Amino acid sequence: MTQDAASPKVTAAPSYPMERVSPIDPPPPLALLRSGPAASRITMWDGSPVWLVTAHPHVRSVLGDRRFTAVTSAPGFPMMTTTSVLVRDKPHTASFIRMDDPDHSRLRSMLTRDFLHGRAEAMRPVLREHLDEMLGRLTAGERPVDLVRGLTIPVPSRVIALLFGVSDEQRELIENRAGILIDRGYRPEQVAAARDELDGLLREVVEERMRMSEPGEDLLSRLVTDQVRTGKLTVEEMVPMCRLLLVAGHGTTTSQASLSLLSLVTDRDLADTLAKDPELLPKAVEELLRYHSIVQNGLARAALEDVQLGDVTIRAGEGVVVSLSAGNRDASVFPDPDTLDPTRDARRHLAFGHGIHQCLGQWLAKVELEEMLAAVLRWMPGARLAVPFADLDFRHEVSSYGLGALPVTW
Amino acid sequence: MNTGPLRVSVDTDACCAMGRCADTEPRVFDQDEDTGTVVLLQAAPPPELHDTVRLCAELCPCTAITVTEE
Ligand code: HEM
Ligand code: HEM
Ligand code: SF4
Repeated sequence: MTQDAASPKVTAAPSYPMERVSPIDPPPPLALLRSGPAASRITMWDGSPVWLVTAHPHVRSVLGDRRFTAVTSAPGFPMMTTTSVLVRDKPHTASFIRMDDPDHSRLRSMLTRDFLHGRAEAMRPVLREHLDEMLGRLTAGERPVDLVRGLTIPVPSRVIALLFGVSDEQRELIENRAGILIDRGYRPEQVAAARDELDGLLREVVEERMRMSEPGEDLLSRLVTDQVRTGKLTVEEMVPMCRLLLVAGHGTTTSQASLSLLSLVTDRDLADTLAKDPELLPKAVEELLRYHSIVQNGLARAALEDVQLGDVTIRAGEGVVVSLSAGNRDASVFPDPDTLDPTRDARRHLAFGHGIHQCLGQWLAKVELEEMLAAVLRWMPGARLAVPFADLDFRHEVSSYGLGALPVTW
Repeated sequence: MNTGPLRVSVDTDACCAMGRCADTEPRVFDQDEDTGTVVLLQAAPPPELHDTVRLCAELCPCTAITVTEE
């Protein structure tokens, strides 16, 4: 393959993940790679060679192509972090995000009904009540207020608790363990222990449903009634499924909400536009998803057979990382891509992935994000950052990019 | 832009019930209330809907929507 020899930033195989220069924009080398071949050689943190795909159309074709597997034990599968190694070595605890069809769709389809667009919309009124209660309390206290501790961490976990139908006590326990999973302050063995404890807690909750003669209307009860009791799903399969919903739905939404609120409190134009025209919120949320692309290191796949991707042949057994953040800043799809523009049509963004694994929780996530932004606009008009921008605690280590704290005043 | 006849077809086996189509062009696509599977409301939508129908085919994550144009 050819490389641009004139460009000093692009070496034969840049190492990955790459470092950011600006806390808001993706690493600059991605833009150079995007204008090159369909896939570029990179070296992962563990030394393994992998293909990196950066242009929007190629990211779509990899994610939409079943010749690329999501099974982490497949030959060549890129390991994103040390914890992904931990998960690979425990294949029996894998959830359907790491499976191909038909296994994947057999399990995922059991959840489709609970995550339909209409179901997410139906949660809006309840969510609004929770938000008003939370913000009422936050705004009654001292300023500044940390919107991460006060809002963007608790909201996604309350939403999952509502969905799962767990008690406040169980919610606190789950929140605590899930909190450890998304906190960079913990060591890998502490994270692993929290994960085992979380599985234990989830198993208890599932078994509680199993003992009920008439389980309720919540997601877990329905899974027990429709799937476990009819022999279509084992408890061993259901626990990782619940964990997947927690892990994939918690940290991601927290990160995306934190960065969206950061944009709201630092970008006067955005705040004024949305305050004046709340109808623009859904559009702005799509644009914020595109712009921040919090799944910052992208998604991993491995080729099951030789695949021709544009001008590059990817061989069976080779690993591929698709960069969602690079695809989302592709000027051929999003003109002036580095500008946050709440009025643009950003629906082609890749923040939720593409293909059969496209985010199951996307409608719920969008409802949560819209409602959180709306609540801050309602309760804290004119909210602004309470610390210098340079002092913000951006989280680089975690697989989704976010903020440790967002102190605001108004 | 192409203004000739446009026909839409859906592959309900490929559909993974993501609902992008029904959200983008509810005059052409609906979803089964229970399973979320796509329901095609009109196979030959009028010209004013062609742009959004093409967008739906592009947004569908599971390539379940095919648009054919003369
Ligand atoms: C802004 C917030 C979110 C972002 C950016 C996000 C992003 C993503 C991405 C990129 C994928 C694709 C992974 C892959 O292809 O390997 C995914 C999958 C998934 N997400 Fe989300 N997600 C968010 C919120 C949620 C929420 C709230 C839930 C549920 C409560 C959720 C549940 C899932 C599940 C279950 C999958 C696996 C789907 C499958 O494998 O078929 N996500 N998400
Ligand atoms: C705040 C950002 C995130 C952090 C800190 C984080 C952390 C972790 C950790 C520590 C593990 C290993 C422990 C375990 O298996 O549960 C893990 C696994 C996993 N993560 Fe993440 N993660 C983040 C974001 C994401 C995103 C964006 C997705 C996909 C949408 C995702 C999906 C998964 C999946 C599927 C597993 C494997 C566990 C399973 O199969 O259920 N995570 N994550
Ligand atoms: S967008 Fe595609 S996968 Fe989603 S409901 Fe429509 S046809 Fe099915």
